[in-house]
Amino acid sequence: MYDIIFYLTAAIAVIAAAALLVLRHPVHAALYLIVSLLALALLFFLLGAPLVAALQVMLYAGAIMVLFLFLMMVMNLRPERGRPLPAGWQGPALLALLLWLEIFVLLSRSPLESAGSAMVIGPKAVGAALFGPYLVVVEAAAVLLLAALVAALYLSRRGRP
Amino acid sequence: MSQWLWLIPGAPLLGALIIALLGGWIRRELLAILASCAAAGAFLTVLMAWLNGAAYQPLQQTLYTWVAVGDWRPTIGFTLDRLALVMVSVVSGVGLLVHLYSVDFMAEETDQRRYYFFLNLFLAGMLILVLADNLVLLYLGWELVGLCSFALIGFWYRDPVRAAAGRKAFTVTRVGDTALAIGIFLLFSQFHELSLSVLFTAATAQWEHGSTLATLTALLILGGAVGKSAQLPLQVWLPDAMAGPSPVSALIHAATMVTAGVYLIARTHPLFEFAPQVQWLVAAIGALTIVYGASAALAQSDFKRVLAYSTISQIGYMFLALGCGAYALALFHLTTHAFFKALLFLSAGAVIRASGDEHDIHRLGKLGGHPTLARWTFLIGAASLAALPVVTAGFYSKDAILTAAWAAGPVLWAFAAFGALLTGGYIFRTYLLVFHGTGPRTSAASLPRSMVFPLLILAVLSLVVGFIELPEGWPGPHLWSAWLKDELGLAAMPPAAVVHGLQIIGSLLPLAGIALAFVLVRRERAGYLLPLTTFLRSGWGFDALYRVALVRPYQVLARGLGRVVEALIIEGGLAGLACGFWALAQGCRRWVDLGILERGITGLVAGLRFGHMRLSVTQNGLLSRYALVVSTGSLVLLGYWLW
Amino acid sequence: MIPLTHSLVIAALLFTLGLAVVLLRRELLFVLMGLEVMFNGVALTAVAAGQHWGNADGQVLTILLMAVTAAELVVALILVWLAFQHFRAVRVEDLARLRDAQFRDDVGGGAS
Repeated sequence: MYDIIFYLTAAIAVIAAAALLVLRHPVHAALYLIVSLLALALLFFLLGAPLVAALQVMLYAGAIMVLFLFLMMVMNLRPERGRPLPAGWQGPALLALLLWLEIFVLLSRSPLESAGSAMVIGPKAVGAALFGPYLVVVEAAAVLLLAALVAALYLSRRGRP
Repeated sequence: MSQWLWLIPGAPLLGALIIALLGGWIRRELLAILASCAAAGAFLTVLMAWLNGAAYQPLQQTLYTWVAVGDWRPTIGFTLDRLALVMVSVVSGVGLLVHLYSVDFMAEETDQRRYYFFLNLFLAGMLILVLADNLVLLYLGWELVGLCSFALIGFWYRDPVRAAAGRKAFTVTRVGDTALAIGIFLLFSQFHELSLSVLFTAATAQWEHGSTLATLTALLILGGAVGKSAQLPLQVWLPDAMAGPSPVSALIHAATMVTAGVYLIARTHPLFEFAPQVQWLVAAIGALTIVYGASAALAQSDFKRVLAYSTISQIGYMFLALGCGAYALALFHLTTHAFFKALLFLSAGAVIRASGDEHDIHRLGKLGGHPTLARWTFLIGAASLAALPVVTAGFYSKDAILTAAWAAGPVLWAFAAFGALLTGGYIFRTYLLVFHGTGPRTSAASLPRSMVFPLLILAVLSLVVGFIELPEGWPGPHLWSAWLKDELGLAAMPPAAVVHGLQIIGSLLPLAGIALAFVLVRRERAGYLLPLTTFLRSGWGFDALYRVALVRPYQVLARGLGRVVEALIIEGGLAGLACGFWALAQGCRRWVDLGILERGITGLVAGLRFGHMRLSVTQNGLLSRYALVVSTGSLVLLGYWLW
Repeated sequence: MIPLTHSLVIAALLFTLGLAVVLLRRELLFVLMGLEVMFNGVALTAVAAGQHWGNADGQVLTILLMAVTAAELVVALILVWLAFQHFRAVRVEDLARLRDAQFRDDVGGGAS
């Protein structure tokens, strides 16, 4: 049962991501992206990482998608006319396929066949790691976010000199 | 039976969900029927609960743990005790009738999906609020009804005035909601538990009578109740809320949501018992609001605003009863008020609709030709509101409150009695102006059946509900207070001789009020205006006061902050940063000797330019192409590694 | 229990699909969405590996990744908005100002 759910969710995530390739309307694409991100959150949960799953829902499906949709609203985008794919799409598509095959081969050779059990690493452990050994990285991330905030304020200010 | 408790809020919630998600595929006429069925589902479940003996055996159902934080686990749990049973019966009953009434009333509306979604959602929220067994869930319902109220007041949002009324209601009630939230936080910090039953035992064990903490908590809860129930000083939103459709006014702004504050205080009355000063304040607010609402209603010219001020005034009676410790009587008046006020609003809605959306009572009187049934039902509602002795339900509930108020303090009684006089005055003034104007008396217009049915039921209820609790000292049933005694206790009553005297005065006051109405109407037709008309019509000038005292300064503050913060901190800071970098660059240029390096740099530039000529073919500026090159690089690297 | 390989294959698939979106679609917003999908493929790798080895490092990495993504996306979205405001650009071709002046006629951009 667990396996079925996992693979089904994985299939949803992948199909929804694939839909981005062919959709014309940006809002539809955003919806597919939400589906994909939510499916991924479920995958995280199934893998035993509830904290990341919750953060995925809140950050991606909540905050980031709102930003996307808001921008679409402001830009008042119309769906593109004509073919969604530009001419000469075969090359990049082939490249992407090749890349995936490469990774696939790479993985099939590696000795990673596991027999572990579903282990849940809860928020407590993650928090301990985050504010223990990785404290400096967290501070760095905070500085990065501050920088992004300042950049956003600067870029979006009214009346430029 | 307990396991079906979830169906009471669940049925309307399901209806709202179906309408929201699948409403696009459902035909407009079916939407109304679907919404009514959802309301009927809730009502039938309540009926089943009655039949299964919920009146004497509290029901309890815990659906699941909502959140688990440490050892604190608020649940989605419902309790149906007697207090909740009264409320769910009123809410689901009036809710069902208003849904039915809406079927024809809103038939020509294009956006019915939004209307019925919010109406069903409101019903679900109100039932959650009433059934919640912990304060977190109660607060969820509290906010849900606030949201629906906002959305339904501004239902015709294309009209900026109506949209602004919705925003005003939301903002003003937010003040109260925030107070309630802080009160809940305070309770949690005290007891680490928000389940109502646990809370009350813990409070009894830990709190001292009249301690500061108890007073503060009760005060904050009272703040929430005052905001939601439109009592002084947060009453300004309710008259404007009449911008919504009439069924909405009947359901939300007369019968159910505005009484949520009364319910909240009745529900948390064990906490209020520890704070006698706050209880006294509740009574004082109630007494003042009675006179405030009634006097303001006396001068209104908008049909629905009369009823809005009347609602404010009537809820004042309930607050007065709560403050006197007569919780059961507050609940009794809540019930009768829900019936007769919904009846008044629905009748008024029918009249306004038949006259082509005319709200002014003087012009309505000149137009005439109102539906005959609406006239009779309005008369019944008005009689019940004015508490016409013996025959109406309003008499029994209001008289009991007057008696209880005397026991708490004759001053309170005097306010309530003066309010009762004014009540008869304003409602019959409105009745006479609208239905006995210069226009034709008879009407060709007949009401659709789905509007007739709720009006008739409410009219009957407005007359007979009072008979379950006859006044103190009368022979006959005293079912209500006897039934609620275990949960809500009994109020102190004055001695029998006084009671009889009060009852006689209480019976005469409405009649005097009606006589006052006759005099007023005659003089008003002759062009005479009440003293202070503008003052009373503007609701004692509260709106203007708040605009000067609160709204303006806030706007000025916001604008000032925006200017100062943006100009000083952000722009200034960035400019400072830029200056610093510029100074650094200047310094570098001055200190590094350019002459030595110059020749080398020139050579380098020549070389680079040559390379650029060759390479610039690849630089076509297309982002995708660059990305393609990057991924080709990674592909090659991976391939090399594999190989 | 899901073998680590399977999770990684799914992650690779997501990453590749995201890359394909970035490479193939020409609308700026779609490119950003493709980037999001790529980021998520990486996040899945990190979480799956962290669970496999039984420590929290994978999740820590993912959380930091989220912070970086958020920062990236905020700036990128504002840039997209500015590009739209100043150049009316919604497609990648509209923003080809970095190309060499000699080859301006080489590609048929939407702006020209």
